[in-house]
Amino acid sequence: MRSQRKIRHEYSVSALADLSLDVRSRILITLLFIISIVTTAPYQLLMFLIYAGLISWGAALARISLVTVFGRALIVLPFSLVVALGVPFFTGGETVVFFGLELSIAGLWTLAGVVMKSFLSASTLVLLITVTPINLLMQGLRGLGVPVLLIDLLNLTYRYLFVMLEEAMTLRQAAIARGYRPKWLPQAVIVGRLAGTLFLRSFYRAENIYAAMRLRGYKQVMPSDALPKYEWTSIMMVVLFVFMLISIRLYLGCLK
Amino acid sequence: MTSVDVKDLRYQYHDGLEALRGINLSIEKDERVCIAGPNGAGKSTLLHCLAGLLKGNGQVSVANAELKNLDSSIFGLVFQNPDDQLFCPTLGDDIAFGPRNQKLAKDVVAERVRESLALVGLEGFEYRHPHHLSIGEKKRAAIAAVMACKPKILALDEPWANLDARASRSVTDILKNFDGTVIVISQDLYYAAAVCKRMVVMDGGMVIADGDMKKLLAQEKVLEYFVAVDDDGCPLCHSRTRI
Repeated sequence: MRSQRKIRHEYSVSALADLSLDVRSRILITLLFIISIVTTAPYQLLMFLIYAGLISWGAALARISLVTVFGRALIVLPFSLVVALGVPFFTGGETVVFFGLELSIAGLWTLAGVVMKSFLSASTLVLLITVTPINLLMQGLRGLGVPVLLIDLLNLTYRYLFVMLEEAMTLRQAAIARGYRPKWLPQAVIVGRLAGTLFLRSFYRAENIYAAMRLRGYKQVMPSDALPKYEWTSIMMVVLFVFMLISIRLYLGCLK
Repeated sequence: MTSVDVKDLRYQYHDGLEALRGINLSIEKDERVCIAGPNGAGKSTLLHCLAGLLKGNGQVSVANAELKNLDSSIFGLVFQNPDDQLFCPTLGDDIAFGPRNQKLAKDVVAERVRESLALVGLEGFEYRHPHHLSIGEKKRAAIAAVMACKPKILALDEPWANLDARASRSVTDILKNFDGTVIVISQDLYYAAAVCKRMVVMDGGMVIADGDMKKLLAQEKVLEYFVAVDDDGCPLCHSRTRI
């Protein structure tokens, strides 16, 4: 029989999961770290470098490659760029001409801030998710008072996201196998039909899942083992982390 | 002692389709029964009525009590698609779902999880994600999830569907070793015969034959439901069925 440790490593749940830091503390530290990131002014570049360093340090402790952490976080960039790309064109104040385009300096700082903050926040979340098994993460959220219904929705979404993706791929392949080669916009109608089919399948699957849950005694609340007592040492870790962040920001004059 | 007793059970779907048309069926304690028949015969509907998921007209008694509420410690149903059954992020959580709902102590739940996974040969899979499992492993895990509730009656909808020979043998062994009543819906009569002595044949929402599996399959009229015939009238083997 394989040891739990080996199984965890096999499934990307790193050695950090074996450390004793309570999952509630991990979530709180992540949350506070993200709050610190988003409240840092965009021009305080040194602070952003320190944040990146702290994330790298966490990844090194967890024995996860930086490519994994920062690489996965890149997925947020298109979204943040879409949101903030227009800002340099519409913000007033001093301007700079770049390739014939007149861009606001303040707007450029805002754009850089949005990109850096979203990227670092996503990296922090990737680190948390990679080092914490999903069931433990949900238990931690429950322990911190997040509504049970929301946690159940997260659980089911996580579980069935892959199933739905597989079904969507199967539908797409079935369409391609029957000669579907979209070239013109009207041909995209079939995508809507596939989405409708996927929705109906999801609906029927949801009915079956609910039936399976009822058969095993489900009464509107997912049962879960209670978390162990929140130890003082774990609470102190959060306090120490907050203290460290505030100290760094005070030292660098970033706390305004 | 009767495990399941059904009298004149009728069920009609919302679209007007009459899926069950006066089913009478009695299954003894620890009996192993295969419910077979063509597609749309009403087999799954009957199983859902026995489990209490559907309420039909007629009398349904399970474990000598009239069926009122769902009880996982009495009737366990394994669905055809294991993805419908494994809804928790990890296998350990999924297996523990039923026992936790039964309000068992934490150590008892842990023991049930370990025991159930061992029964289906998935020891050490507690932290595995269901989407990382093969279809055979998922099927066994779905059975383990139901067996963790320690039901007196275990019902399975097409347990051998889409499984390769090794996985099918594994499921057959699990069912053979189950201590209690087993009801199986299956088209794989080869494997069903290895588990069940009795066969109930359904068609058009009615029971058309009921008795010893081997004797029934020797009857030409029953055989027609399961064996295709070639142009010369010679029977062709249906799937992996050997009669």
